[in-house]
Amino acid sequence: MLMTGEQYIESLRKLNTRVYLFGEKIENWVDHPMIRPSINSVAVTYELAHDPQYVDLMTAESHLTGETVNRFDHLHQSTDDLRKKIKMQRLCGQKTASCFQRCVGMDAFNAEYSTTYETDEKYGTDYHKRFVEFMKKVQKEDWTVDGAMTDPKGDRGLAPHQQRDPDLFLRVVEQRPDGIVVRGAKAHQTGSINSHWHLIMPTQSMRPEDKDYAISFACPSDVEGLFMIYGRQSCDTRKLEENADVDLGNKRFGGQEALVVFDNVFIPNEYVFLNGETDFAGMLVERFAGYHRASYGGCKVGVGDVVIGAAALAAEYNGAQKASHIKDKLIEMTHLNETLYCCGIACSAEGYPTAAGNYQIDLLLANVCKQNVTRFPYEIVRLAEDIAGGLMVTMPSEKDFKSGVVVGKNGETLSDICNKYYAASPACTTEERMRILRFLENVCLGATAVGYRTESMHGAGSPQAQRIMIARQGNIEAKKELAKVLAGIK
Amino acid sequence: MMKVGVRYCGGCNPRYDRGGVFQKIRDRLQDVDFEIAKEGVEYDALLVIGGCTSCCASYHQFTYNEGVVKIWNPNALEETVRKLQEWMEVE
Repeated sequence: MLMTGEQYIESLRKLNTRVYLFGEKIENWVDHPMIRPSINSVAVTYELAHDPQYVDLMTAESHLTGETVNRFDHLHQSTDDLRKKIKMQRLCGQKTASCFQRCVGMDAFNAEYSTTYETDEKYGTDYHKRFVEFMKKVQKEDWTVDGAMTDPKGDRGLAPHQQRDPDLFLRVVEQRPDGIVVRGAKAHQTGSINSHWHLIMPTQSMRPEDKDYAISFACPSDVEGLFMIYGRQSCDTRKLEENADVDLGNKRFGGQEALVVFDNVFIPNEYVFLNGETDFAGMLVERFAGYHRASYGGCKVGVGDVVIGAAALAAEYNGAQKASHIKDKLIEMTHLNETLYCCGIACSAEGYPTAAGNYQIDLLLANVCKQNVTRFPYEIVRLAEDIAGGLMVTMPSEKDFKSGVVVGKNGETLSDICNKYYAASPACTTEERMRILRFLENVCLGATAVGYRTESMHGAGSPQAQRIMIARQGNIEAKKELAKVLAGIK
Repeated sequence: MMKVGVRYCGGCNPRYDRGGVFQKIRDRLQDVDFEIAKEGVEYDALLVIGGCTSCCASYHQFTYNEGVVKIWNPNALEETVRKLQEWMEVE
């Protein structure tokens, strides 16, 4: 069943997810003004799946059941599927200008599907069969699932088992005949509160002495012992201001991260997909990271499309759109944005089938993609700020623009004064100019900058993680041979 | 009346207004029964509307008799209408 956006939001109300924010438990987190925009972003992934203009990207046929499913719950069956995944992410970025949070689950599904298959081949376990049954439920119920990988990690110089506090990496604390008990946490989890279930993966390659940490499983978001602490974002309390609108920049949509804590949570065997097979922890991490690094060549491009559009509008509203340097900056922004898209499409087009049958992206190109994503959005927002002008951060508040307080000698109100001195091109009203500048402020350094800037830097792995993978995959020795042949060196 | 199934690409980066162009085609061919293509329905023809040159929409899952006409450029509107009219005459 493909849920509508409204059905998705209603389905969240049925969960007993424990959420803490500003030191308090939030009972009605679905309608909380700081959380709701991020829920709206996920809801878009449901809404678009019902729109004929977007169905081809937003849905796919499940190879498990033959049913039509949301592509976010799909196991990629071809390079065409991989390309459409990137296109879908670009589309969702365009419609929300935010992180729509559902990619981590999709990328985790595909990494788990192939890794469990290969783990079973070596160890004779039945993880793959369990995972397939889990995926059938995910697809049938149209769930949003948080693919959770990153542990708090404590002292980065120490292995999991060497940490002063052993809970700094999520671990098994008790093995039972019917399941396991886990303790620890997953940090900066995108969309965790908005997810029906969680799919947990190890955070890094593991050695045999880290056996208790080589763990993967699924659990409902409201399972006993699990709770979440909401992450703050720049300018987040603007959302709590009465009748906030223009000053939010993007009133309807946003992103979300949280600390997810597992306080001795019991996981039945049917939802355990890795339990001590340390040699497969690295495979799972590498495959998930590969998919997710490719994903950024879609989602961030979609947000970039909106940033470019907003910068072009700001130029028009300032009356500067004909200046050659403005045109050139918009070209540069487009060039950078489409370069990211090229990377996302390329690593998908060069994908390959795994032993389990689903398709994996080209790892080298996916890491190159993400490495560019750690840089280009920063340059895009730098150019957007350049075009927008300083007013983006010096403008009075929406309340000033609407205030009836008399301040002038001739009876002018604050509103009159603001509208007089912040008027620009006749192409727009003062409020429209204010709206587009606040939108850019939101993306460049407000709440959405979490998703467009810092997430571009660290999400799916920090820049150095990609450089390590590029070094491994780059095959320098073969390149040296090429040079030797042409230079006549024997 | 000729029945035509319509299939849009996913619209990740359309270079023109796909819905607007379809409306123009529909206005020009008022004797054609257009509907969003559904699996299991037999169409006389399929109209695939792509937003860019890759025109990547999937359509092999649909049933059609005369053929498929693809459009990925608004400048091809006349050609698209002409092709559908030819099939109408065959009908």
